[in-house]
Amino acid sequence: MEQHSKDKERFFKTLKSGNVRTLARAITLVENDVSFVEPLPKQENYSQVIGFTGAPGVGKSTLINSYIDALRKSGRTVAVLCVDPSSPASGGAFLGDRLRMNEHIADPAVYIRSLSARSHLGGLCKNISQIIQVINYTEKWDIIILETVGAGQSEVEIAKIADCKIVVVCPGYGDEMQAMKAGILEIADILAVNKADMPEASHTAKELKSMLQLRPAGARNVPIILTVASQNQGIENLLNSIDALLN
Amino acid sequence: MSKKNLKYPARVLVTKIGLDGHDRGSRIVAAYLRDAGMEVIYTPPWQAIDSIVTLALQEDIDVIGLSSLATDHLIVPDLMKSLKAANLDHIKVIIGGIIPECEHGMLREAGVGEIFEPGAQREEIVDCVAALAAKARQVKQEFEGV
Ligand SMILES: Nc1nc2c(ncn2[C@@H]2O[C@H](COP(=O)(O)OP(=O)(O)OP(=O)(O)O)[C@@H](O)[C@H]2O)c(=O)[nH]1
Ligand SMILES: [Mg+2]
Repeated sequence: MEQHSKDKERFFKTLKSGNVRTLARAITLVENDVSFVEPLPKQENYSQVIGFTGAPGVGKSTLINSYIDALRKSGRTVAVLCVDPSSPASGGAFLGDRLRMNEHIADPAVYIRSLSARSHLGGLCKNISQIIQVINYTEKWDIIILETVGAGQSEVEIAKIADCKIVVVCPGYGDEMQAMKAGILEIADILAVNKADMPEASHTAKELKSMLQLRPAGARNVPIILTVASQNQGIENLLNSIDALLN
Repeated sequence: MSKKNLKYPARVLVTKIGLDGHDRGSRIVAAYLRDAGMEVIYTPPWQAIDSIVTLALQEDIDVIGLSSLATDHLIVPDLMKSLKAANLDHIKVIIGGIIPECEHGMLREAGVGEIFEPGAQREEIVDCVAALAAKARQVKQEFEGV
C-alpha cells in the first residue's frame, strides 16, 4: 500500500512533466477505472475544449484534421480525443478516425487518442470528463478536440463538456434535417456545412438558416460556415469563428 | 472467450508498413479482434517505422498487428529496434500475410511474437493476440507500479 501510493505519486509527477507515454497510460487507466484521478487536484482548466459532432460520415474527422493544421499554424498545441462506437455484441471496437488524421503523426505538439464508447450512450465515453481532467493536469495542451461518435438526435452530452460545440452537417442528408429539428441544433455554437463542394450545399445552408430563424427572438447568433474539409477550404473561417467564441 | 486474461479490452494497432497498400487482410483481422471484444486502432497503410512507434505510444497499444503481402516484413527488424529504443519493447508484434518460410527465423530472432500465414484460423489469431496483450499489460503495470 505504502509502495503503491509512492508509485502513484511518481507516476503523476511524470505525467505532469509532459511525458506522452505516461499520458497515454493515464488515459487508459482512467478509462478503465475512474477512481484513478481521485488524487489529482481539481484545478482551473488549462485546455479549451472544442467538440465536433454530427451524423456518421459527414466529415468530422477530415474537418478536425484540417482544423488541427490551422491551430498548429497559430502556434497552439492540440490533443484530440476521437470516440467511435463499440460493437454491442462483443464490446470490442473498430477505431478508425485515425484514417483521416494521419498527417500530424510526426508533430509532437499533436496528440491523438482513439477511444471506444464502450456502450455508453450520449456520443462520448463514460469517463470523458476525467480523461479531460488528466490532460488538463499536464498543462501542455492548449486545445482539446473531441470527436463524438456519428451522432443521431440524442447525442448531446458534448454540450456539457465542450467550451465550443461545432455541429457538422453535409448536403444530401434528408434525415439530417430531422436530426437538426430534434435537438442537436440547440447545442450548436457553430454549424459547419461540410462537403460544400457538392452542389446542394448552398441549399443546405439556406435551410439551416431558416431553421435558426424560427428560434425565439434574442436567441444567440450561430454562424453557419461552409467547409470543404478534404480540400482545406473554409478552415480559416472556422478557426476564427471558434476563436471568437472562446475569447 | 478471448477476454479471459484481461479485465479491460486489449488495445491492438492494426496497420501496414512499407509500400504495399492492400489492406483486405488487415480489415479481416481487425474484424476478428473487434468481434472478440478488443479495441482495434486502425490506420492508413504505408506507415513509416517512426510513425508506428508514435502510434503505439499515443494510443497505449498492447499488441501491433502488421499485414505484409509483399516484402514489407523485411523492415520489421528495424521496427523492433525502434520500439526498443523508445522503451516500448513490451509491445508484442505479430505479422500476418505472405511470409516465406525462410524468413521466419530472421523475424523471430528480431523479436516478432507470432507469424500467421494465409489460412490462419480466427481462433488462433484471437487467442494469440489476447495472450500477448495480457503479457504486455503486465509489463506496463510492473514498470509504472500503477
Ligand atoms: N466531397 C467531400 N468529401 C469529404 C469532405 N470531407 C470529408 N469527405 C469524405 O467523407 C467521408 C467521411 O469522412 P470522415 O471524416 O471519416 O467522416 P466522419 O464524420 O468522421 O465519420 P464517422 O467518424 O464515421 O462518423 C470520407 O470519404 C471523406 O473523404 C468534403 O469536404 N468534401
Ligand atoms: Mg470520424
